[in-house]
Amino acid sequence: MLPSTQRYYLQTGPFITEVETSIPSVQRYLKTHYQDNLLADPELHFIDFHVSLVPGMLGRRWIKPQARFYFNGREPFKPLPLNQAPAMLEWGMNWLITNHAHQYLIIHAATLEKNGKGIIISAPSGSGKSTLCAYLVSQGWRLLSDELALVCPETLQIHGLARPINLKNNAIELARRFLPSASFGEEIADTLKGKVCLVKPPKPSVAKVYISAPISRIVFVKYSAAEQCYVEQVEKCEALMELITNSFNFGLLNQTGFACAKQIVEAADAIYIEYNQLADCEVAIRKGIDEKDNGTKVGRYSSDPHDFTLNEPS
Amino acid sequence: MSPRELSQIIAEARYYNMLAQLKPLCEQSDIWFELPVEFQRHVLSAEYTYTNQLRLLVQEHQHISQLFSRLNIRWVYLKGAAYQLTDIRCMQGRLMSDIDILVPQEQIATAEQALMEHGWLHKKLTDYDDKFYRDYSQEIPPLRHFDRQTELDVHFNILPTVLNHGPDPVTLLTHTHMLPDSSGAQTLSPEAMVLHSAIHLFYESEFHKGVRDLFDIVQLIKYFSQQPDFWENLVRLQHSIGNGECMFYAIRYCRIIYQLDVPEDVVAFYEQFRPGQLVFYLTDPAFRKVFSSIYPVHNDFGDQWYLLVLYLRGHLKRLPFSKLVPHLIRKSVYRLNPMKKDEPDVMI
Amino acid sequence: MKDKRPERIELNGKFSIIHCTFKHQSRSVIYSPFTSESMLCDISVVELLERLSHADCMTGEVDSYVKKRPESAVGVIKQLLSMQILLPS
Repeated sequence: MLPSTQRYYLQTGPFITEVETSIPSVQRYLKTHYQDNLLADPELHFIDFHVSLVPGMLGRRWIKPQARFYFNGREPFKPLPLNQAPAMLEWGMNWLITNHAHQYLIIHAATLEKNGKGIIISAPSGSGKSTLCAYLVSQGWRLLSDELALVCPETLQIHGLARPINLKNNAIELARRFLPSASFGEEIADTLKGKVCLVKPPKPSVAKVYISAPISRIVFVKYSAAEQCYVEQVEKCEALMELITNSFNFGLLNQTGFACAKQIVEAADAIYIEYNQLADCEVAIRKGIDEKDNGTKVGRYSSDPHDFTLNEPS
Repeated sequence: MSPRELSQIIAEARYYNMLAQLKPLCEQSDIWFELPVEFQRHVLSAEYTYTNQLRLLVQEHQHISQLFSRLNIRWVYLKGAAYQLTDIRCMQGRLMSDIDILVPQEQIATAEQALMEHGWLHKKLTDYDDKFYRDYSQEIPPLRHFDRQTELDVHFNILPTVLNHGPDPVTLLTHTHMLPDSSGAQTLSPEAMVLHSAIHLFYESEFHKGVRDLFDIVQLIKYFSQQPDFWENLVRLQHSIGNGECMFYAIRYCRIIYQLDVPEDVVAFYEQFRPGQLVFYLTDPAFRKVFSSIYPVHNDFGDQWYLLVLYLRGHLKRLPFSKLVPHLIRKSVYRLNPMKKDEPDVMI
Repeated sequence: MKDKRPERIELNGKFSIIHCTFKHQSRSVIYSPFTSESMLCDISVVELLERLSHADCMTGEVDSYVKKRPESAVGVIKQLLSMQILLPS
């Protein structure tokens, strides 16, 4: 039986994306991981992006099968192996946003919210940011995004996507200990980033995705084999430079981008955490945003013994 | 208009790379503030891309001016870069992919050397492509600055050399103006700019940019025809370079598709360049299709035929027949679909 | 490429100190809207730019700044010129 082409309409925060695909693994993926975000009545809505995922052409449909990503009628990337199709969709949608959503300052960071206060966790790839993000979600933090901080230059609030969390390598096994097993998709092997697994976002995060959050804290993190959890204040000018470096479209936004980043560091304190204990890290961040006078205790944090030790990051 | 229809407009404008141009057009028609915020957001996002490109162009213009004026190299800006540097108002929002300049053939080696000494590197090409660029397209292979990542196309002939019965390039090149800043840079005169644009469009073989390129000609003519002697100069220049088939086509489709006002005597003048009946029978419907809608959503089955007609026509007009077949065979080994132009990136 | 400082230097008239600088305690960040580069530096650099915006003799101000900080100032001035915040005049 030949697979049929289906169209799905994903509502992810501020964006509605049409995804057209005949690839069965992608169809399954969308029906499970985007179960709470699928639009039933697309005719009534403004569609922001048109994407399609199709099998490889000619021979590459069956021999070392490939998946191809199309955006708006054009193919911006080379094909990838077919088993990576769901991950290709996620990477593709991230690429779309970073290239076509300049109404936001877009920073390479995870964003979450608790008690009406938002945080930006900024760190380079491979530093354990996604693992920390997944852990915070398991502790009741609302997920806005695991990868892209969307800051509105006018309101300075962060806007969420509530899309699946992208975990890699060791992080996958670790996360299985604190997230429900039903949220884990199929593991995808042999990508350029190693083993990848997409985790469905919790329903409450998806339901509240429209609620933007003010930025209360900027957190820079780094895995450290030597440190359980060590926290340090980051001086505002340094924090500003870090945000600038980690932004996708800072240069494009020119003065608007600088004004936005500047106001973020003016309003929110920045801290740097070196850790290998996830629970301690969560405590440090949560206490930081709960402090009335906005002063984070620096030094070492320790919570009740847990065994969520972070190993070498992916 | 329904939200769905509005989002189709955005998608199509984005396909032609004309998204940022929607803003001035909507403002002129007084509808911008009535449009929903979802629509405006996409246009404004593209506007950021445009303003950043403009900034990069100004920066490159400064760098090139410093470099070339030291070496007494004369250079002429072409196409998108020229439209922005001469501040043609109705070209606001028009995106560019690279900067095109023209340098006299006798100065090309010096120019290439100087650019490479200042951080410009050739984009990776096969030996065949390199030779093709230099011998047939009459440009050095495209350069990219290693630090600033801007792209520069340096031409040494205003038209591809092997044009079968083509217009005379030398005369075309004598019609230039200096830029008002004291950089020493030049652009083509209004009539030469329009003709150059028409020649390039109608010697093309791939028309995925056709809608935008034809619209460029419409905007240029609308802007320059405000000058009283524009049409006279255009006809006079056409006389001296010969072969007005391109401009005949340009005027035809500007009038049909964009209802452009062209004086009757000019239309009559260009009738003499109308191609033969058979050629016209094949090309006219193909051009009409390509200039009104090539967006994949609107594609019909028969469209592949039109694209093939124009693909072959374009190649025949640029290459001698003896070179055409080997070139096409070579191209088809790398590309299965003649519509595909831009090289896809690696995803991560 | 010339490494020598230009004879005369002035502040780029299109540079807005309010919009393109950030000061905190002893440090500052300066952003160039021309080249899109950012620089982290001592707060004295922004103070220099502020003085230049009011000064009659800009080159004099720059010279006295360099005299006070011989080790670091030359690099800073060179960077400001490269960012087109300062211009040779």
